[in-house]
Amino acid sequence: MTPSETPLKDKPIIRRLVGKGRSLWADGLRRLRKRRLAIVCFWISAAYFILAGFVFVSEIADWDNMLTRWNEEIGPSYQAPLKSYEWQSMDGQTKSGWSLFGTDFLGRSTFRKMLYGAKTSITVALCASLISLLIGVPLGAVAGYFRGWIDDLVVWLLTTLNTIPYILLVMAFAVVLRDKSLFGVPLRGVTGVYLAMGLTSWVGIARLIRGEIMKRKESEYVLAARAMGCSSGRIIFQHLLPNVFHIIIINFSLRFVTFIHSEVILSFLGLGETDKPSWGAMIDAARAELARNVWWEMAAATVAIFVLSLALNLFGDALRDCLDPKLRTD
Amino acid sequence: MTAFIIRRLLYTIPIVFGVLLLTFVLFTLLGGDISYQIAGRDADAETIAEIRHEYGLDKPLFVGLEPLDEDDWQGHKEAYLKQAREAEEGRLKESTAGPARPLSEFELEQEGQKIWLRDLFKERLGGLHLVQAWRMLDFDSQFFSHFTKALTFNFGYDLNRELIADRIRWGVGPSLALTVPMFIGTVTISIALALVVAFVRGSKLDMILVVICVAGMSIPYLSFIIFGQYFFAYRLDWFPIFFVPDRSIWVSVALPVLIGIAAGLGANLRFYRTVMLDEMQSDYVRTAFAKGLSTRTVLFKHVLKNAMIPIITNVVLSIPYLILGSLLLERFFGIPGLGDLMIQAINSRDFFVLNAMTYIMSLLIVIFTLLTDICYAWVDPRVSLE
Repeated sequence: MTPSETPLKDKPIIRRLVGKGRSLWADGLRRLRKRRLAIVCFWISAAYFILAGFVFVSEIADWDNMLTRWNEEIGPSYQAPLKSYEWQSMDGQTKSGWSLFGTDFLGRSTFRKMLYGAKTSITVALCASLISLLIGVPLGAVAGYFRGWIDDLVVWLLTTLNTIPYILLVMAFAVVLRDKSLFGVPLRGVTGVYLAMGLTSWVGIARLIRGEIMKRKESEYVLAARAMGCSSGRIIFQHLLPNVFHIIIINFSLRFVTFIHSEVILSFLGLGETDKPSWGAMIDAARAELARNVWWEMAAATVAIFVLSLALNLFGDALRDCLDPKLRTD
Repeated sequence: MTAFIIRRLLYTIPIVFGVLLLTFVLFTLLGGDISYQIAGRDADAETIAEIRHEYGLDKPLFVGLEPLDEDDWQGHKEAYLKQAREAEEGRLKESTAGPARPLSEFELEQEGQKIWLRDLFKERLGGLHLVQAWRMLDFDSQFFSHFTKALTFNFGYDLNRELIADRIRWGVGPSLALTVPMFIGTVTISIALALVVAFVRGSKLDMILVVICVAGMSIPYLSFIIFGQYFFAYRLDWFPIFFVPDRSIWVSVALPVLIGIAAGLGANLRFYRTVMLDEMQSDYVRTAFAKGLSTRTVLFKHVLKNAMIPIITNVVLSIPYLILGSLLLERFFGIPGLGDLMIQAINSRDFFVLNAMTYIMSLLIVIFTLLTDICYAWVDPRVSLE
């Protein structure tokens, strides 16, 4: 073809016949946009992420705002939500006030702790997801593409990790990592938690990616790439992985919820964040508080987790239906 | 078929090996020496040494090799090298087919101890001088005993010097009393509801049920437990708040079972709904409807029977987890089962118990997976035996 000639797909007659092609993503997003519930869920999750990002940035930049002052005493201990009270603050003045979600044992605002908890939970879930993707995706892809001894090795690793119950494995990792340090960074608190979760949960995504790559590595576009002399690395990372990317995204959004729930359980076991507010620590504190009719701390944390997981679950399901119609059951 | 079973059995060996390797890395290499912790804050060196010996922490980590210390080496250096040289000369004399390659590794016996010498430059021992020496300890290493302990099910003692095997044996009963009713309840209710959903699929009711399921899955497990315990046991006083040792175990287990069913229903119903709806799309269902069978006949006689395969797989593979018990429920209600044992082990960093539990659980999972695979091959002729 000489450069002056118009490409076949741009010829008017062809364009009229075929129309403008839509990619998998454009097609999926178009379907997704029609679902109002999914869009609402997306924005709810986005709000959580923005909140977490805001807390993160204001901590690093040392901004003085409501959330970085979560530790501040705003009233007597265990004040019910929306109830006005009189109290003597540290400087001896008598003040009157009220709080939206009540106060905790030390007179701190439950509302601020709840908002701050978004940062803890999302940091843990995000880091754990990234670690598990960084391990699982390349391993699964390489195993599925090359087969042979690499595949045997990866499958052996997968089966071995899969043979140990997940909760046992996470706990074992968390308890062992708790007092270690990696490159000078102590693995106390959240760092140990997301490392433990990330290092144990890559099995699922690796298995999925391996299966998909095995299915697709004989397809025409891969054969074409190979015929043109592409290296294996290029075929895997530039041709195959973009085509299974939707699986990664779907897995990511659904796995995220599991991580948030695991953080709660690990916090309860005393393996989580200890000196910053977290939803797990708030629910854990409720064990002692409920007997004194202090329900608001648990309610705040539960509602925060509930809304985020519901939004992510529904959004993840919608995403799966839209991006991978083959997986649809109804 | 026999060949298939044997091959599957052989396939479990590397997996069990992998689990043992992982637990060794986790609890021995990374977990480190916990003798200080057992001994307490102000223990003297002798107590610590005793404890290290008692739990086998003084053994070398890997192969039973221990570097000779400086005095030992200096005192016996000449004797060792002489022995090595003699052995080397003897070997050279014996070899008839031309000059043999010089050895760089030697095993010697000295005063009843086995010594292993290695020349780092792979030259003749008599010529070069950079020689490393180890004492050989007859496989008496932590790595080796980790494997023998596991394979003989002799896990030794926990941090309080109780037999781990006993503690596990005591825990199985209460754990099963909690998990078996919980599991049966969850599975029956979710299968029944899934059948209802299959009746009304695509309707408003179906959608509402799905949303309720997802909502149930989104509530943290811990909240279910704390609220249930507070409301039904503390507020309404229908159930005991905590384990009552002198009454039947079913009294203490009733509320945790109900909470467990409520918390697990969402995820289970969703799973069984998918199974049923997958089956509803098959050709044979369309045929059954086309020949005029009623919905009920199709559902119970055709769909349920065929959906049994994934259901039974799910049930069989859940059995090992039943033995593990429920960590959180047991903790909150003080039920002395295996879950509670695990949490105690975590709180006191008792790696011996964690190690034993991890190994036994993995072994059970391996066995039940094997059984499922064999049953599959036996029942379903389409499963390839290759």
